[in-house]
Amino acid sequence: MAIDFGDLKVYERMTQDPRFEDAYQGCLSCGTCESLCPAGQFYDYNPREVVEATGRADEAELRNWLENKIWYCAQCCSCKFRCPRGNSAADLVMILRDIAVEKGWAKEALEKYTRILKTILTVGNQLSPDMIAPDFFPDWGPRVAEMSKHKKEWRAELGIPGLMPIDRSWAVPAHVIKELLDIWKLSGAMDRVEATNPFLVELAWDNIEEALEDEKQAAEASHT
Amino acid sequence: MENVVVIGGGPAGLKAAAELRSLGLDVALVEKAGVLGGTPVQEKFALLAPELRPAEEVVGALVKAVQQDGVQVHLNSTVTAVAGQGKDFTLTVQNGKGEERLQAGAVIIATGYEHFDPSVKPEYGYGVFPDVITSAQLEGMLSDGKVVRPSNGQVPKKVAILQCIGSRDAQVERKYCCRVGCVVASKQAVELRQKYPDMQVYIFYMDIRTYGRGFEELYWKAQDDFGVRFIRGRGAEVRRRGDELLLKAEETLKARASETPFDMVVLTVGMGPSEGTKAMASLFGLPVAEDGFVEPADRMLAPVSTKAAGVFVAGTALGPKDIEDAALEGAAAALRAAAYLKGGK
Amino acid sequence: MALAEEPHAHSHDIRQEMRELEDKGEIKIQRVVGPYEEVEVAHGIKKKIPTTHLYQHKSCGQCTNLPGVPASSMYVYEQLGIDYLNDMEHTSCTAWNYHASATNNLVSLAAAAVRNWHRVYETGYNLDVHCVTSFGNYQEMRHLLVTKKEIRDEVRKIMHAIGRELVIPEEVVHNSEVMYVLRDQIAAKAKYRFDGLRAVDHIGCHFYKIMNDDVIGGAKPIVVRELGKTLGFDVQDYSKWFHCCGFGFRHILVNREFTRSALRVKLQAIQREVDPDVILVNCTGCGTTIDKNQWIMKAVGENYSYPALFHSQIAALSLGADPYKVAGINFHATPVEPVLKKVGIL
Repeated sequence: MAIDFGDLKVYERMTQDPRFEDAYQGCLSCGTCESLCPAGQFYDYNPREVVEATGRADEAELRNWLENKIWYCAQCCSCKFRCPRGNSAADLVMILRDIAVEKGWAKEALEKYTRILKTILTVGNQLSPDMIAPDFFPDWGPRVAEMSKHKKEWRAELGIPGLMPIDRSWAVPAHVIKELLDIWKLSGAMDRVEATNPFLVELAWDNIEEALEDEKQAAEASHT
Repeated sequence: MENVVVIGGGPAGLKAAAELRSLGLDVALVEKAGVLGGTPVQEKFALLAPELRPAEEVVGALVKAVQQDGVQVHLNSTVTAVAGQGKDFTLTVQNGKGEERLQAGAVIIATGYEHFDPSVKPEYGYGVFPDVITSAQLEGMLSDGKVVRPSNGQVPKKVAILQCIGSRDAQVERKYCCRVGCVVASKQAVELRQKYPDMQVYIFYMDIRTYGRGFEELYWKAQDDFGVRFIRGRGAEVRRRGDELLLKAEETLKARASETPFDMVVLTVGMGPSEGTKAMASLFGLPVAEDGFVEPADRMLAPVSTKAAGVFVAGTALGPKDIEDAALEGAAAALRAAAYLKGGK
Repeated sequence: MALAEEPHAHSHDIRQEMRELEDKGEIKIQRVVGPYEEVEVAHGIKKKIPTTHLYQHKSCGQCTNLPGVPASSMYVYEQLGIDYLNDMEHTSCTAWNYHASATNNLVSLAAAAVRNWHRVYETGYNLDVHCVTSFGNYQEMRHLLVTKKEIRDEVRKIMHAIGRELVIPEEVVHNSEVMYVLRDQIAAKAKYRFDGLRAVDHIGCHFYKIMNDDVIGGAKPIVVRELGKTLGFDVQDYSKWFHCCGFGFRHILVNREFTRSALRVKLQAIQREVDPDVILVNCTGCGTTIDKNQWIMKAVGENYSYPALFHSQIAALSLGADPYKVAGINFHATPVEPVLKKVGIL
């Protein structure tokens, strides 16, 4: 993927982020972050590079990271926890991911995220039991098929109120989901969804309208 | 009153006491331990960098001067209270037998430092893996003439020395440099290689800082004459696998994370203010800086004076330094105290 | 003179700053309701762990993948006569999505946190977070809301627009911290003990690596291991305790080769050094990763079968919970049955 960066000054944009002040303090180039980094163990990835590139305001290197490397980080924050300077490469990565998403440069990285986003925007949870299907998780072993098959009855057996539905983690009511949608709208997060998955925005609002109507009718029905 | 109480019997305090005597003043020296000499004696320093002279020879001379010059020495004693001001202080001194009062026209605080306790950083396994030791422990072994792995009593074949443990580290609120760690590690590596030519010695460092006269030469010597291997990268984590220790570090010049087996890991521990320094700062109402050490009246222009009239300070109570500089400050503090008593400023 | 400057961001008592903001009318603090136990967390800072009126802030990953974990938490409270609330009116914290995809921006993340906190405040219960991702996120969001005015102002505006207030809880508490504090009470009522079983613990990275000054145990968390020991487990050390499980937020979905590789490093160390009966966990992501990804290691000729048990599950099982109908062990991909047979629960 080749990004057209236009006249974006990556470093300048990073410094404007409220997380920046805590995330970057200067660097001893000591290598503690890289030594402990799980992504560094398996990818051509070294968190020290992004910290040092930030320190040098190295546009070419930061752009290089924006292209792809930022998506390798596992966000375990081991770097942040042990950095003797108190830096957080993990947060610098988050700031860069933020830029990538905002500019619409993350389409490839987010390709498989449509379903998670849809779940958040329609049921207020990030996951639901019906997502755990054996064809999606063949590597999770033979018991996944059993779980998938019995998901309704096994959950009923647990008998925890609110944990019965299989299309959401728990029964978040419609008016609460509406609040979350309003938050995403007012904070500008919805615009970012628009940039990567435009159809989801319309779907979310249509869905909530219906869900609120259902909720209202159910409430009226229980009154009468 | 023409007498001075010196608190602390390490290099700075010893030098101050001897110089005061040479200026004809009465001196009482109060030392918490049962012997004079301070940390170099208590922790059994071996050779001193950069000249590789036995610590005993140098510190022994300082002790001898005090013993010969008629300094009134109070061992096993701590100052617990102070009254008065100007040129008339009364110090309450606690010792094994009870309390006594010392009169003083001026006071010199030379209460020193203590090493960083590396068990605060569990990633190094200090206190868990017996073969992870501090630089101070290695110094003791070198003095005793035998360096062995505490786990099995064998001489280690491969040793890693990790720099800046408890120094230059915001995670443990120790942002400052210990100033002597680089030359101490170089010296210890030289001693190890001298004594055990088959031993491989690695030093993991971020920067080599050799500010003192002769320090850089010793660092070169460690490389040129003794084949000490310097790896640029901070030791990040030590773990145990069977009989050996595995050290994680990034070899930053290769931009490559490594995991290397060693028999023994030495942590070059930083310097912090000693309990005595903290106690005296609070007793005499002296400000301490962000690093926890005593803040003098003016770091450049009045480096051994304090904001309290008649109270002077010297040595590692003012921050990390080597024996040479500590003794020099002791002499400077003696001069300031004498001038103060003579009515000067 | 360079006297002590502002302390390092990772080690200060945020509650003091919260009180100052409250005095200025900028935020409202939700204080702990009812009895609590004070535990020192770092640098002399004390954290209040409430021991009743616990708002069960559920975890979407747990409720989906391992629903016996929240069920166990509620069971433990019922057995100990502790008041709790299983409320539906909180959403996911959305931090998994944040760390995985960054599609939700920082303000939306902070606002989602505050919305949930305000809901907890409305109910009059204490926040008891089941998920380590949510816990780490709430600690981080609290830090950002308290230290960054611009975020505070934006979030307050959003809260007013949806009819809520900027409320920040005095204590962000994880369910494993509550169980740790209750460990002696649990042991006193235990019907079963795990004596003779060997365990290792794996603590979720976001439990302590995001904000390291506000969790019990600090640099090396102790909550799960101490609970485990109290219930009879022989909890042993292993060298890769610090190593990430491989969950990686996005990797578990779109890059499972990474997840499996990272987990394998951990499992190899665990097998070589301890070969335990179980791996004790407190984190949704880790518990899922460890439970679901052992079977596939056969593909590289390695056999692992270490059930991942959560703090709440071992507490519930010891109190006599039904392994299936409460602890939900049928939802585990790595069989738990053999271990429960060893101690007579099955």
